[in-house]
Amino acid sequence: MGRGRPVEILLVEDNPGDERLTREALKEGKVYNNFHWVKDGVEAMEFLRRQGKYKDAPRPDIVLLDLNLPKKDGREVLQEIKTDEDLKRIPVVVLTTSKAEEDVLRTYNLHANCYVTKPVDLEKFIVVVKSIDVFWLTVVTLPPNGTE
Amino acid sequence: MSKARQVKKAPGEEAGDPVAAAFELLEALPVPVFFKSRDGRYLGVNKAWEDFFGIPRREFVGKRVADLYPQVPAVAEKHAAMDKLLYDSPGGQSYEIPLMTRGGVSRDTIYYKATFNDAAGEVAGLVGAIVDITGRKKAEAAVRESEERWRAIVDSANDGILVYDRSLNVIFVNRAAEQILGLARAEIIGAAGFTSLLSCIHEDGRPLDPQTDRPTRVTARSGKPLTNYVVGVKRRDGAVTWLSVNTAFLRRREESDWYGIVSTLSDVTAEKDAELRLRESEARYRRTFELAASGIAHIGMDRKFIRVNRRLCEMLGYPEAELLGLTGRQISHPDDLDVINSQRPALYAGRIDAVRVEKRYLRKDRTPVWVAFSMTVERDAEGRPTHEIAVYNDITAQREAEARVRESEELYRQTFQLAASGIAHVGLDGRFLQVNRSLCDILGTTEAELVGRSVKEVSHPDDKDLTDRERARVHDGEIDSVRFEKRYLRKDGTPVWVELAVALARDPHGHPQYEIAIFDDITERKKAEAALSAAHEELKRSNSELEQFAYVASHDLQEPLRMVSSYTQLVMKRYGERLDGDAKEFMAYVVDGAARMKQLIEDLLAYSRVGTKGKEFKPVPVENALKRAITNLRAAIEESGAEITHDALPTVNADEVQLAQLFQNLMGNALKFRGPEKAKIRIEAKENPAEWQFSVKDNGIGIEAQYFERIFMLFQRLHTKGDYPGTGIGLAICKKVVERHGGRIWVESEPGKGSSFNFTLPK
Repeated sequence: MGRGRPVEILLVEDNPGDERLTREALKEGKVYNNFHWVKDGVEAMEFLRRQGKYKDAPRPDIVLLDLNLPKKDGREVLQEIKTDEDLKRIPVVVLTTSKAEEDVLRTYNLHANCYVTKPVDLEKFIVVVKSIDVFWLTVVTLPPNGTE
Repeated sequence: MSKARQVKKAPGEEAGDPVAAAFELLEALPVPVFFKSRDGRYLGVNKAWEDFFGIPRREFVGKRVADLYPQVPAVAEKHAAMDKLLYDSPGGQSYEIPLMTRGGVSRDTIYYKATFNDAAGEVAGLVGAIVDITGRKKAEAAVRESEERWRAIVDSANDGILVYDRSLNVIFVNRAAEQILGLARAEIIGAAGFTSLLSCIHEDGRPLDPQTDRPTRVTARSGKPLTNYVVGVKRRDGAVTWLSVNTAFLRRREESDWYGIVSTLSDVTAEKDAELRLRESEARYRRTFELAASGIAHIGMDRKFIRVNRRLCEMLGYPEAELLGLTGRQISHPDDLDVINSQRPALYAGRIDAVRVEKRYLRKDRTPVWVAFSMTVERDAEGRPTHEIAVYNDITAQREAEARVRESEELYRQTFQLAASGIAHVGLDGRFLQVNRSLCDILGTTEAELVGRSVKEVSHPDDKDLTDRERARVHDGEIDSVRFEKRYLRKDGTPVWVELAVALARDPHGHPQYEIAIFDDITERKKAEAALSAAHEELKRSNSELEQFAYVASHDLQEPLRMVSSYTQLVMKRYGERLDGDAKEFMAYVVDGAARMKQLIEDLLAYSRVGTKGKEFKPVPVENALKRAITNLRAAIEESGAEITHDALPTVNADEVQLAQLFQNLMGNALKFRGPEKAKIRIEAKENPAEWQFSVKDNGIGIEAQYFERIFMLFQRLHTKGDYPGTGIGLAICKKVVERHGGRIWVESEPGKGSSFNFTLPK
């Protein structure tokens, strides 16, 4: 995979404001990407497993996962991804509202690849989204399994 | 015989004729005299002869003895034989011969005979005289008889008899003496008494010196006979024989001096032994009497003490001399005067064998003494009372102890009855033996209804077995007493909560006797506890809800806040060029407001997390927590150039993260509110009995006393945001952390002189 292909990003987020803000941030950060958006955990797993309407969905290069989701919350999604042999190598960036959430999640030992506290400051968010691009580049330069 | 008569008639007339004078003399002699011719015929006899035989002289003349006594030829032959001997060997002769006179009287005689010559010098015949020795013979026989009789008596006597001569050597010993002394006659005869042969002792056991103390020596020295002189003789066979020796002098008639001593020995060993035994028994009795732990007295018929022992004197506090002569009544306690007298008639009548009473006497110093008294009466052979024997035992101490026990029991009884707690004695079968009033009140019943019922009957159905379980531990000796709570049912069926303490009363051997149970009605307390517990639960729930609420609220509040903040910024970024000055300023306020709100929410979240997300306490070196705080504050410390010092710090039981947060907040404040001079922060630690007190002291701007409480409240600030930024959460978190650790926090300060923030942590 080369730089010529856009990053396949799956955002799992139920808040349209955040979805839009993420897209705007990707735009502001000039990240070359294919942006996919699902609104809950069940949908997220269908997308990842290419089930139902997501039969032809691409395998995401990175998952941006919000924790507070309807139906199946982010913790469960993370757990399923990380215990699925096919999916567990997909980097997952957990988006949290507070540091406290992050602490709780760490205690579950779910092996998220990264935790990002959603910033209130737009500029900071743009920096974060840009860092996703950098992160992805790092991932692809690493040998397989190196993300674990 | 006419011649003989002539001699008699004319002794003086024919004084010139010697023959005639001789005949006169013969005739006058009291001795019978005869003349016989060689052929044995009497030539003549004198007057004494006639008288002796009672036969006239003419019947003799010309006759021979055989003619005279034809009936006793032996006499005639004897005389004839003797006559022949004399003629064969002329001279004189004498011999004894018994005769019989005409009157039939037998006589013992001695014949003295001699031959006489005629003028030619030839033996012409015999002349003889008779000495009548009949009297002497009789006397001799009598002496012989007497001696034999005496010997028989002496030998058959039970007493030993020894006869000593003037030199005090033994000249006679009887058989009994041989036996008594165990010596043979041959050994004794000639010895200086038995004391020279056997070692002897005096009555008192001293050795007897045979030279000075032997009975005969004593007798001789004193000149007086001895009576019952007691000597112990160690016989050769080892036995000691006790002898009573009597002595007497032997004197001849009409002589004042003595020629010997006779001593008699009576074996008094048996008596002596009996006497010794008696004396020992007497001594034993006397010792017993004197040494007895009891007072003993003999009391006369006049009721006066005859004899008292030492113990009685001690007991009654009188010297013996004063006690003798007093009556028991005289020294009796006024209230006990006739205690004994009332029983005397029965004793004397034999209806009781002894008087046994307890009574008081008054000692000489007037202090009372309690005595256990017993008395019997002694009687003589005829059954007449002679005296009384009384035994006294001092039981004052015992009486006093009894009185104390009674007082103690009374006290106990009162305590038992008046105790606010219910008290019961419960038998080993689980039934009430004794209950007090309070227990009846607690169980709403009466003593009569309770005693005899089992504890289980009045127990709450759910708690029936509780008592069994707990009391088993006491019975096993595992613990002395148990204390537990259980429910009983009052008579009206309402439950009553009781705190029960059960202990076991044991006898001196450790065997359980009964249980002592103390009941405290804790129904009210139980209600209060239940209410408190409910309130506590409610509080916990509401607290938890509140914390949950604060957490969730602050968390969820961030979402819309982020929208406001982010999109405002996006607007500014995309369209800022197109906005006028006012719009830009307004938008800036929106962004700032959102940022502050975010800070407030973060702080609130941090505050609520002190309670909900705290870690378990463990030993933490306070210095570690302090260093962590200093590390976190490094930038601020370096920027301000603050100087931080601290005491040696202990290890406490704490949540290290929170303790670090505490120091961080306090020191952060000190840095923030520093004065014009260089900031100096000192952390001190002081040990109190139950806690450590820490102080964070600064030289900052200080605080006015009126705000000392307020500063620890949530979001309370003393300064404008312009002067000192902050939400006012720091000290509220400090307070919450300290309180969570069971400590207190307070401030001492004066504006311009710095502050000291103090907090305690329990040890």
